[in-house]
Amino acid sequence: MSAPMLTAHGLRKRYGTAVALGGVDFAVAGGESVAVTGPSGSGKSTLLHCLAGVIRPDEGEVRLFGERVDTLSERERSHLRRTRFAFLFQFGQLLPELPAEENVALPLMLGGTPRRKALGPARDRLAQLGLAGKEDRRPGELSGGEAQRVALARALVVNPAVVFADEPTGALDRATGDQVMGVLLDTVSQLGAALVVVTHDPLIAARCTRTIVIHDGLLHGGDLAEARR
Amino acid sequence: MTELAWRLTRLGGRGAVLSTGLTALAVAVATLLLQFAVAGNFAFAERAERTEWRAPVAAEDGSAMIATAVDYLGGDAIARVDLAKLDESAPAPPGLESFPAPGEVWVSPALAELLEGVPDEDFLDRYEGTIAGTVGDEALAHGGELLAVVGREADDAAMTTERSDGDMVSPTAIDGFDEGAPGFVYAFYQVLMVLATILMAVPVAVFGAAAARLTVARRDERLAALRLMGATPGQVVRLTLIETVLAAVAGSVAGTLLWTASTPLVALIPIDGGSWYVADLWAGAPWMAAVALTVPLLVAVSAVVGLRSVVISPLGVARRVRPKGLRSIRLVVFALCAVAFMVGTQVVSGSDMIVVAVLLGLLAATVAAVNLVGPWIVQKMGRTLARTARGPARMLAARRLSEDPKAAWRAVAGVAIAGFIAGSVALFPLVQSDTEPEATETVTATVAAEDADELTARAEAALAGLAEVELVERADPLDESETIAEVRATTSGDEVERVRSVLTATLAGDPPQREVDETILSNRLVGSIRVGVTVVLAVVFATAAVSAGISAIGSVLDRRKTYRLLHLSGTPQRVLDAARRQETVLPLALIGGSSVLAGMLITSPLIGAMGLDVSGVLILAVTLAVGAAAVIGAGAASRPLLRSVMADVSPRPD
Repeated sequence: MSAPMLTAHGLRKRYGTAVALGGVDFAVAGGESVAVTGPSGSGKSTLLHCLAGVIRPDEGEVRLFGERVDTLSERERSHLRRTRFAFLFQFGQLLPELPAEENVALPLMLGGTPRRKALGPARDRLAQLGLAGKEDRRPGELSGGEAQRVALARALVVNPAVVFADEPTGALDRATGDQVMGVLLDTVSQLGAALVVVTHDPLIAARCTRTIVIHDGLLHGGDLAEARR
Repeated sequence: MTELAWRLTRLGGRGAVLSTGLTALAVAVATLLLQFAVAGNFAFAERAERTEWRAPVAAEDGSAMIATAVDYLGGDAIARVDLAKLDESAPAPPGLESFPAPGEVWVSPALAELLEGVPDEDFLDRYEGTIAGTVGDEALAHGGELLAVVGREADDAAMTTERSDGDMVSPTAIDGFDEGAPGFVYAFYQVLMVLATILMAVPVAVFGAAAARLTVARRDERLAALRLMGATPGQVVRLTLIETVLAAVAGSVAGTLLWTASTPLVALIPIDGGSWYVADLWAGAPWMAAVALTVPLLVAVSAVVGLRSVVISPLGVARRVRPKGLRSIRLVVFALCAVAFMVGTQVVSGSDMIVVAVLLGLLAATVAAVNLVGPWIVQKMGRTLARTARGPARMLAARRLSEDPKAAWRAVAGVAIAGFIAGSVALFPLVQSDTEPEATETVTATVAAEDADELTARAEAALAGLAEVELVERADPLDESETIAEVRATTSGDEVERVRSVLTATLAGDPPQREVDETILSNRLVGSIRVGVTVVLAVVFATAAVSAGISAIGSVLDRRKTYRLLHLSGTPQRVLDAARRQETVLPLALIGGSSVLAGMLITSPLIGAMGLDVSGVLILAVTLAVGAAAVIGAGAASRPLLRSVMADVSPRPD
């Protein structure tokens, strides 16, 4: 296994008196996929947000390729999220008024690429994910699985180092969810990127290379069997 | 049901409270402005009614004689009513304690104030009498009106000489003062007020209806949840309707109270040279109640229409599909209305009430049709821009415009109407001339041609050593066979009022005027129109700004999940701000510009080619600047909300 891309050490975060993270260490390497599971309110999303530089931990540090992430300004973290990270959520991340190809091209355009140039890679990604011919559809005209693949195309179009997914198949039926998850795992490993998936679903967790269980803000080993118990 | 709706609103979290509150606020503003627009018509009617006694119906065997004239003093015009008793049954005119005896002059409070320190020979000597009392409010158009009621003998020349000025009343025998014709200016003002009402009410109504959609739009998700629980579509519609109407009724009551409270301020708006009696602005309980009820009703209808377009299935919310293209029939309807109005102004002539009503109706239809063509233009523009956009902000803005052109239109509709008004009045010359006395002044009195020589001799005798008197006779431009005889007196600027007083007393009939005096009344009219235009523009801008602000907040709330997720994936707020700004500015520039042109075009045949004048251009420039600033500023006001929505990283914020 290659050296870790994204590492975190001693992460603590409280909201008022509630402890969301009580000192968490974490590492993920390129090509690796990590499932973060645990009961509701255990701190899964907080961990994801800390790792992705959305929020700052109260204590501890996060590094990407050895560089501190948590000490960057909001503007720099925004830039980092846009260029090195990618996100996949349950639903609602696509802009309803944009056709699929423009939704996918948006991150490139935010980085300064003119639309004409950004649409090329966007169409390529869509074709790669089996959406050729549907570039012009709006999210409302796509099925749930198709919309989620558009969201995936958008996540991958910037060639991210780390992909963060938060219940990416939560709004899909089992078969479609499996299919989307398969595409997600395949394309991420092709890119050599790291994948961090927050999920409740043991079957999805089972398809990742590693699972960590979080409970009351603390990590509980990496054993899936233990998590199930 | 009502209780459930209330609980849903109260427990619906910040979003529900905010959107319901916004609906109430929007309705309050709309009601306030509509109450104002309606009350304005009554206020002018009240003023008109109080002037009716000065032109009573003629009676064959009258008990009194009446005649009217306009006197001038410096830069002021003073309405004069000459009265003479024919027998003892002559009734006291309104505002006077008794019928004025010969030699009695009754003055309005404003005239009494004006005459303080003015020597008798400069003014009062014109009437050869003394001040006997003050005219009461019930006989005055407004508190600032300058009016003199002069008691005379029945055989006084002033009571026997015809007035050549068509707007004045020539000596007429009357029986009483109960029925009469309102002052000619007020007939004109009342038409203008109806015009102003149309121009204000249309955007206000559009805005009020839009407010209803605010609550409806925000309900999608919760309505789906209710459907899942087994609520029927009818129950869901009723729940939303109750919620919306509760907010609308609260807003309407607040707006009406606010209007009542603000009448003393509104009464200060000077029209026709004076502010208003607060009581004039009281449209009466039935009308105020009608407005207060109409607005929530309009909101309810709009809510039902809005709900129908939302497909509320138990699983999931209204799904967005490709936006339907707005049909070009909208353009056709607008063009037909506009052409009908322009042709109408050319073809029909005359000042019959019917003709005026038809023209006003056509104008109202045209203004309302602007609301049809506006979204169509916005959508066309959005589609064109979406094809050519290079950057993300422009692309996001363009797609929003073509997706929901009506929302974008609502934000700029007010400015479009304002631009239309400003464009129309930009062509009206609204210059006011200077009426201060110059070094040498000439006053002219028109006299009957057959008595011209004798009257001139009398004037010469009376003004010996005071002024140069000459008789000028010329052909009547309207009827070449008639001769107009004018007695002209030339003197220094200091002596002009004294000369005028002597001449007025000597030559009955139309009082002597300086050439510039004619412009005093038209100046007053122009000033009033200018004030009126300013008020209408202010109302329209208030509507535009509030509606832009509310729709900006509404769109942030609607899309808060997407905005939050965009923030998570590193989208800078400034891109979203830029996109939102362009959503407003792009249609504003196009529609603002074309509405100004449309306004100019539509009134140009009415006014003819008088050309642009400075004050019109100034109004136009200020309108566009203030309008753009108000709309952009109101949109920017939702930035903190966007920031808080974007920064909300709580795991499931909804």
